[in-house]
Amino acid sequence: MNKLTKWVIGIIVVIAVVITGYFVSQNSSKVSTEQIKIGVVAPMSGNLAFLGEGIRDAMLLAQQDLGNTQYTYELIFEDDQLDSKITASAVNKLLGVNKVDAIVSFGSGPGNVVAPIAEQNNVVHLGIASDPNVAKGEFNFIHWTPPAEENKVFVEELQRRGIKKLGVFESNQQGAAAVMADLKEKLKETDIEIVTDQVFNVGEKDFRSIISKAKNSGAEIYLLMAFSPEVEVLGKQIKEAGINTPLTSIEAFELSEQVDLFEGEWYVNAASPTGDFTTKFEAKTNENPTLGAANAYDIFNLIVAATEAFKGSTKPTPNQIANELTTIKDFNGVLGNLSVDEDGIVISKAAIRMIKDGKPVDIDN
Amino acid sequence: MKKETLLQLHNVSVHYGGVKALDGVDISLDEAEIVALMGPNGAGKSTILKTIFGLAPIHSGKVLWHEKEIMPISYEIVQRGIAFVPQGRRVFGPLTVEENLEIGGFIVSDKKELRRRIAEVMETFPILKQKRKSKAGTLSGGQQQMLALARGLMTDPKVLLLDEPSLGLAPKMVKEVFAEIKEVNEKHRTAIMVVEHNIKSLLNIANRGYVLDKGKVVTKGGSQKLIESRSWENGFTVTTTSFTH
Amino acid sequence: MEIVPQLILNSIIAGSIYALIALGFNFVYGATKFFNLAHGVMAAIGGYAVFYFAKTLGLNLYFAVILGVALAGIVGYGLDKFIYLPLRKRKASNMVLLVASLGAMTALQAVIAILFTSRFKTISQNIGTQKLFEVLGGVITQTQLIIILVTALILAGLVFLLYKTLFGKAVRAISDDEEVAQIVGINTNKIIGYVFFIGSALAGLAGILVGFDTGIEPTMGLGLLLKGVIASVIGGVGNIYGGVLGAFLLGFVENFGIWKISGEWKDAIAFTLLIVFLIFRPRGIMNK
Repeated sequence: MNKLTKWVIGIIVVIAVVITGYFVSQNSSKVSTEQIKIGVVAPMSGNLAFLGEGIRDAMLLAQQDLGNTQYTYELIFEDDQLDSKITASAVNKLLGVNKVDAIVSFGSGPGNVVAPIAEQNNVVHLGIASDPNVAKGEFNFIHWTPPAEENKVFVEELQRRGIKKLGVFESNQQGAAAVMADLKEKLKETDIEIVTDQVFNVGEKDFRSIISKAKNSGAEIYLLMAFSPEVEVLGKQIKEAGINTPLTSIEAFELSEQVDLFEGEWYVNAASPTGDFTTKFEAKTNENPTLGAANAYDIFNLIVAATEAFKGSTKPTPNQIANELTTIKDFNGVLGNLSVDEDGIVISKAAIRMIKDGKPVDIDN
Repeated sequence: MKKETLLQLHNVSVHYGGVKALDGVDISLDEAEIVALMGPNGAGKSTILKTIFGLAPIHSGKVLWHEKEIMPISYEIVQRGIAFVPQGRRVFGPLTVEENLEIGGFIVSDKKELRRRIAEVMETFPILKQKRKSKAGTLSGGQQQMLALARGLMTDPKVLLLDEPSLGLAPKMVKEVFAEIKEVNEKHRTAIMVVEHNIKSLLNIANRGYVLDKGKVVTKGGSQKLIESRSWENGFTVTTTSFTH
Repeated sequence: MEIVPQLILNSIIAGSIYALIALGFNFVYGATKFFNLAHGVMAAIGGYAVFYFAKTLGLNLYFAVILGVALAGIVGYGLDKFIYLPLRKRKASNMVLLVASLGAMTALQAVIAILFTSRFKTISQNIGTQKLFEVLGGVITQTQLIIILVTALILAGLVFLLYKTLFGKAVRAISDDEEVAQIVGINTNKIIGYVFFIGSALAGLAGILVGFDTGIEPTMGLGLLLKGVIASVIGGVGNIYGGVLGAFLLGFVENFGIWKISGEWKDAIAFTLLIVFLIFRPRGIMNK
């Protein structure tokens, strides 16, 4: 080997060492390049696709807003049409094919399907659901203003207004049923009586006869425990039956496309997300945040917070993430100050609102 | 005077899957004549009528109308002046007698003319006049056969195809039916092609006949010749064991 | 007992809606002898057409209704021409036709959802502020009164069409024996095409009226079709009068059935009635 060749090899080696050293030093702050996969099961088609799309957009927004993190976070969306039967196969795909580290679900029905699967497969699961059963087990959590919180505020408002006779129209959908079960327990401790309790199936469009049954019950206010489109049709048919008794609900009114039907009526809702989130969401989607969107945004950040708490060469186990989640207190979410209780419920506040001039407004009680 | 040939089947074969229902058949029908089609069960007699009416799949050969080849499509064939009275009467049971006749004249655009033909046909078949408002399904077998025949005449056809008009009828009714067929032929100069098992009655009114067996024409000729040769007796028997009246 | 007049009215309203669907369904079934599952989605097409023409484009409401009915008819006609007729020509079984109609229903529903989203919508101009009428101790809205009147008119119109016009007699002839109908010179495929147009237009009208009464969503047709089919089975499939009778019987049984029990039982009551008839009188009340 002549002298020139030796010089050339030597320079190449030096350059290689410098470059390697540069990249190693850059990556030394990143302990791991491992990816955290978050599977999201929500309705992307069917009647409630607009809700699934809102959740998807909120989580993508949260991903976009994420600063520097140790780990990278991938979102994988699966459509379940809010149908528990489809949820199961969607979740199995996320686990078996995509090998996700965490699952987010929407709705109490689907949430109850995911929860045992998550528990069995040791995967963290956060449900946007009102049913506390979804949060059973080590790996399951829900982020929803819990029924207990909403009902507490609701009962207080009924008492403040001096209402003694409550009429109820309730859908037999899981989420509504969970809220009603808790409400009925709370009402036992008061002098408020449920004078009529009419139950109907999801998908029902003809409420005329159950309205006829409730008409002469003497109710001072009717609670409509239903969601779109049943709540609109019910509200319309109540008016068409010549009933002028006030109407109220827990969460349903402001989701309706026909809020005018409920003009002047008060109701209970989860507290509003921050203005900043609403602005960003509207800029991204040209729509107001839909039901569960703010929760989804927070859930993404909760998972990130719990995961980032670990510094190691490999990503934390689901067990570690779950344990970390349970310790979260006073987390600054878009739904306010969030804390996770011992039952795995992310507590956020409820508020009393009223439809005024076609828009929901907070009212002070 | 040479009669015009109205209808011809020229070397026609009809296949149903692997089965040759007709095999190179040549048949003709001249104006104002009555032609008999005879043969055992499964010989292909009814298939010939169905082929003319586009109800059987032609594998090869041609159907000619006034010596021009045509593609048989049922509702178009009627427009050409050919009527078909299918086997088993097949009147429209839920419709009244009068409605059956109206439907028989579906292609008659002049409604006044249609009414005239209905009146005429009811004169020819008085029982139909009596039962005009009755549902066709309530008529006896013989009355239904009359109705089916009358329905076939509603378009004032040049050619009438009849598939076993005496099937299931009492002897007295059979006589009446054949008399009506003869009268239609003589009065309107309608050419008639008849498939029948009741050979004796048929050959008494027919001018010519074809004997078929296994999808082929085995004998043909004037009815007198066929009666004398009794060739239609070979290989099959002809009886009507059940009848209605 | 003061609830009884209202329950009767509710039953009549429900029965009228079911009858509208059953009328069109039976009209088509009578001629073709197959369960056209896409019949329900014609209701959605009618409803959404009115939504588009009246609310989105701002056309006159009556004109929008006419367009909606016509569009539903055209789509039904198109389904026959491009899907069912080719299958019939190939001698496809009724099972194949049923599956094809299911495919058509699913596809059309999906298209509606893509074009308009899946959200429940109204086409009524006066939500919750309609004129109310007191009738025999019960309350009924203007729209509901119109539904009842329209059902009666459609029934009368169909009966007239079937029994007093040559077209109607041809339809009845085809229903009895399609082959012989061809033999007597009826272009049966053409007539069946018109039958699909009329039947689908009727479904579109039903969807429009239901849209005014409650609202519209892409999947609205399936629920309506189910009730229409139950009504038809009870009354006699293919029988115009039977469908109407079955519809009102269903309406009464559903509404009086839940008088003393929870409203959740409504669907169970409807399907129990269906099963009872399928077991004990499968041909229905009116069919012999």
